[in-house]
Amino acid sequence: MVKWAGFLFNADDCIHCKACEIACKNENQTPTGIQWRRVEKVAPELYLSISCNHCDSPECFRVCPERAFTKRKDGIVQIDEDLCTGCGLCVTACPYHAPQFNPETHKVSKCQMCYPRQDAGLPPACVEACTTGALSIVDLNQFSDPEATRTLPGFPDIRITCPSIVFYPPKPRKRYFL
Amino acid sequence: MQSPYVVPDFVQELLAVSSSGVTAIIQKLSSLLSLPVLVVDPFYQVLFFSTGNEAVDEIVIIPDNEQEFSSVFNCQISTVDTIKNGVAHPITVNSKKLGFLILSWNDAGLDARRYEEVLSYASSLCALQMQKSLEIKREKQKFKEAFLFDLLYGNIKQKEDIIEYGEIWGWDFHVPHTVIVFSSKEEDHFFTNKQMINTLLQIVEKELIMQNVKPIAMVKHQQVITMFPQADTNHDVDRGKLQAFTETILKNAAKLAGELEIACGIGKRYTNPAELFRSYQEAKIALELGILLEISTPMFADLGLERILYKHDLQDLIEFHNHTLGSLLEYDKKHDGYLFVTLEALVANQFDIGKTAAASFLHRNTLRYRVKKIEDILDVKLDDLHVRLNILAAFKIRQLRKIGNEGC
Amino acid sequence: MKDGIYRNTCPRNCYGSCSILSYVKNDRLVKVTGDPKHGFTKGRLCAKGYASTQFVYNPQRLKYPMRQIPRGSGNWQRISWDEAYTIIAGKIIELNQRYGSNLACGYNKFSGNLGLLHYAVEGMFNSLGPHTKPIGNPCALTGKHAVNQSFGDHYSADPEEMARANLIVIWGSNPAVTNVHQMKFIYEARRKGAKLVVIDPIFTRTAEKADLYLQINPGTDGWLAGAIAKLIIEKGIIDEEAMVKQTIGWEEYQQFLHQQINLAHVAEQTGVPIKAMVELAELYGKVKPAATWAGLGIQRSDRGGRSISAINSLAVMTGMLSDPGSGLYYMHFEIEHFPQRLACHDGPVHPTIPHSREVDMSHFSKNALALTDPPLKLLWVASRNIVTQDQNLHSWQQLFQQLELIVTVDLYLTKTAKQADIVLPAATHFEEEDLHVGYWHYWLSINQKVLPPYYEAKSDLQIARELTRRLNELSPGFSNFPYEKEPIDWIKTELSPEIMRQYGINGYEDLLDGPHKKVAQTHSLKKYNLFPAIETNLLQGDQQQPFTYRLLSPQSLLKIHSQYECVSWLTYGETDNIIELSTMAANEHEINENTKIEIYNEQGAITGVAKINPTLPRNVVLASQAGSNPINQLIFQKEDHDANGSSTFFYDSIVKIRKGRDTHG
Repeated sequence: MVKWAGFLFNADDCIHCKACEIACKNENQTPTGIQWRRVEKVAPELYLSISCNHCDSPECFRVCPERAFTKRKDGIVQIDEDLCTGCGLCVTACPYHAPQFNPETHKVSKCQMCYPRQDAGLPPACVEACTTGALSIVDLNQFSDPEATRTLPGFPDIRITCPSIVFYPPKPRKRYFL
Repeated sequence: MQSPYVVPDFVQELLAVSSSGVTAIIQKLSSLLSLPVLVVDPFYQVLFFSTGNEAVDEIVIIPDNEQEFSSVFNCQISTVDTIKNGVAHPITVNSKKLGFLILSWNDAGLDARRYEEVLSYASSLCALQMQKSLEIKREKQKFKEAFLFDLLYGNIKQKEDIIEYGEIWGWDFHVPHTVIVFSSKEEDHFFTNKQMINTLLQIVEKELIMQNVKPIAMVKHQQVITMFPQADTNHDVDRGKLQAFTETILKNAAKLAGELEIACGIGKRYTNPAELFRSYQEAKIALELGILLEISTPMFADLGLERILYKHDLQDLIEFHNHTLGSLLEYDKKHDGYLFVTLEALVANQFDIGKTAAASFLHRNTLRYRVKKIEDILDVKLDDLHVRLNILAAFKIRQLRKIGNEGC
Repeated sequence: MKDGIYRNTCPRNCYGSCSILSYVKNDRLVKVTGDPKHGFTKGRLCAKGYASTQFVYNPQRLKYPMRQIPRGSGNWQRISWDEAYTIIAGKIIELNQRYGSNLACGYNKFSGNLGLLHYAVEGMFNSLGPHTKPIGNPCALTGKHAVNQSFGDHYSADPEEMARANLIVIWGSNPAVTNVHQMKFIYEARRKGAKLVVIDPIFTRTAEKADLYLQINPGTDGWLAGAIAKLIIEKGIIDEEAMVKQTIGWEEYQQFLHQQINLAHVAEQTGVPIKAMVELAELYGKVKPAATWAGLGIQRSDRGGRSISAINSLAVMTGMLSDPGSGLYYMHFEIEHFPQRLACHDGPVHPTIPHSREVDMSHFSKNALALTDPPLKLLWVASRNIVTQDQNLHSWQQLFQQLELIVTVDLYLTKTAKQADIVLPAATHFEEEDLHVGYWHYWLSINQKVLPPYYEAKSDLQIARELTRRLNELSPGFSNFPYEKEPIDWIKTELSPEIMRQYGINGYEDLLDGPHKKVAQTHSLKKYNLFPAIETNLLQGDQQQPFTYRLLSPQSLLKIHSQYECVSWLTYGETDNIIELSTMAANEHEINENTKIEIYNEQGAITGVAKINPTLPRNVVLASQAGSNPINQLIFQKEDHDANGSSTFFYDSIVKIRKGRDTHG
């Protein structure tokens, strides 16, 4: 079976260091303000590193009048910037703020899951940069772990889009506060 | 001088055309023998006919007696208005039966044995050709899923290409199609029950065959996806057929799938097959919304308002909901009342007093009294179309976003 | 350089000292990655490192030498390097003629770039003969003294070994923010069943990940360490024989714990309940090997030295003697084993003045102001942003007024550079050669020059070479700086036979293939001195006045001090000037989230945006460093008790809070 490329994000291991976010900019040289990957604090002690989730049902892909989006057989959703007219429909359609409008080029761009790197057998830049291993890629056709969850509090609604990401939630810890 | 090794002319002539396929072989055979020739599958369904395939559908082959047809045997060929005699020879490869080669003629009493040798030889040629095309077909089958993936994700931009590819598997993409997706209601998309999903695929394929449709269906992750042809130009007929089809699948699935509840979603109809990817995405949305709204055969085209409401900012929706229905909920809570349920029933029955009364086993006057009360509490007139729209929307928000009775 | 992938080393004052692979195309840096050959970083960088292209090609970088007339006016004029050297050299010579020595000339250089070749600043001043030089280490000196007293040498275990520990106790350090690469070794240990304990007044990102977190009143770590030691002895979970044999002061130490440490009193002082102490003592006593990390944060306080000593003693008691995996972590000073030829360069002998004048870095401005005969007249600032980082800014302002020439070498027009007469554009690490040794891990790495200079930027070494040459042109023999030596010559000098043996290399060329780890640990700890941990003034409680708050200003994630402030990839979406306060403090002052507040003391007032942090102790406010309104304006260290110098006690600053007044402009 063809692989189904997805992200695995371990919220228990993420330290919010933002290396993934900036490594993405380093690899793709995106301008300031265009964040294909973002690390966000969504609740006390809960950080999420979110990019395009290369959804099984990508809304960007459905709504684009120019058919600028394609979904590869391994699940990666690509955008062809040459076809983009900057109409912004995908920007509003995506619950994860993955497609981002660049006011200077009047084009939308988004995470392409570093497909040139993956095609060369390398992990995406964000995954390579993750010093704790909290962010990784998995083949969702093979992945199965009862401890993994489809979503976490603070992650946008996964209905409709079926994002290609799975999570490990934070574990409870023991604390003595003053 | 010993006689030379003679290869009969017919062998040469048949061999010369054999690489062009079974049709060429039987056409040559037919002209050599001046008799019509057919090739049928092991179940006597006609595959090739030397005079062309026009009348083929009407033919029935009836073997004579209970013959053990290891080699040549007599048979009858019945069309709509004639019964002819014939002689048949099996086409086999490695003792696997691929079909029969049949000569037919009008007169009775032809000696089958006279044709045995030529039929045997022609059968071997046919067998080789049929085996070859079977292999090609199997090879192509491997590409079927890839083709369907490309179709579902809009990777083939040219309509003509799609139509041409479709023909490989006998699919006619000149006809408009609608994508239907079936899936388990279980929320988990990744941890699939493979057996269940394959059963579901079989159900879908079987039903399509029953309806004389060459099935376009595939399993992708936890879904069964099918493309349903809709040749009718009449919208209502189309809708009816779609609905009937999906309901049948759901019914059959309920029998077979056991514990697992199956949901479905129906996309829009697209004339251009290059647009079918939209229908697929739409079907998946309809499926999700259908689960929330408890619609058994949800159609994307019917879910406009619902989609807008589902996508909209939740906080805003809650505000709207509370503004529209909050006072009624509060009243019920304070007085242990049922006015909210009454309003819900009214909405479900298109604000028709008669239907609502019947559906909720209330006397019309009791219902009227309650409606008046509801109007007082909400400070609206329920015959106002705008008010009705707001209330309808508020109820949809409840369903879609799972806002509880406490609401807010 | 030819297109290709080259080796750089991040020169920041940071635990990582990360090896960088630089992708160069058409003389431009197109991207960077970590170096997989580096055993500590394992091919990763931090967010700041990954922003390297923007750090290099930043429109806000200084492009040319500039002169500001008058100082502080903002009236900058571009000048040539030649003019800059002439002005500076002229001034140095004039001061020399005026005072008969170069004592009126001094510098203030610290940790902006930790490369060995950046000692060129020291080397340049050394080459002038006696001058005014800073000594000490505002960052880590107090802890260094404490570690030396305990072990007779500097000592910090190999951080990669932390992965083998079954218990990791971190006192006052926040690796999730300041030492991200360490986290994977901690997680590795944890995946094998180890427990992570974090003790910190702030519920840091590391604390969030801890299996056990103990919040503690700032500055009271010594108390807690004593209490844990007492509990371990009482429970008898200790190798008494080893203690007798290998430590000095074991009897006295036990007696002290027995007589002076009262658990209830410690609980009151530290805020840590006895139950939690027992839990930690159980872990410390029973789980081996146990790694103990005494963080730099602890020693940014008057009582920090004693706290580090107490933690050292605890580490000795809990397995350091018997199990090499039970390491103590602080930071090491391996760099001191290098020849440091530039820093140690011998200048010309002065007929009457035997030595340079030394000024303690931690109190530079105050001490420099006190100098007379001659007063300090020229200050060279390099690798340093005094105005956003140092304490006692009032005396700095006085010192600036006294100075006749201030030269600042920097990448950006920092707040300090804005106080200068002349700024000189510095090269980034991609535009210069260098050699680096970590202070946390044990890797040695090279830094290649991979890019042409950004406009007219130059390295500290290049500036030293050119300025000393100019001095000698104007006044032959003024400097004895070996300006003919190329950077690679200096690198070769640092790689002495002994150093090459330690790191298992045969020459600098080996480092072009990747960083090398120190082969053998040189320190052989023989002496464990338990006694210095025990000083009676440890017993003095902290009497903080009501409605006063201790100001803590730890490192932020996306900056090192004020560095990287101009990198918009890193600053995008970040809010400047946030002041975090506890829910209680917010209630006390009726302050709401996101409202404008002021924190103030005798030094001044800082305006910021309130962020209510429910996990913060009542008496602590938290602010980040640098930014548009730097927090160091409120930091003032009264006196230095230790004759040997100390770290700057940044965390002893006390502030008050009030609602912000709406002022415009």
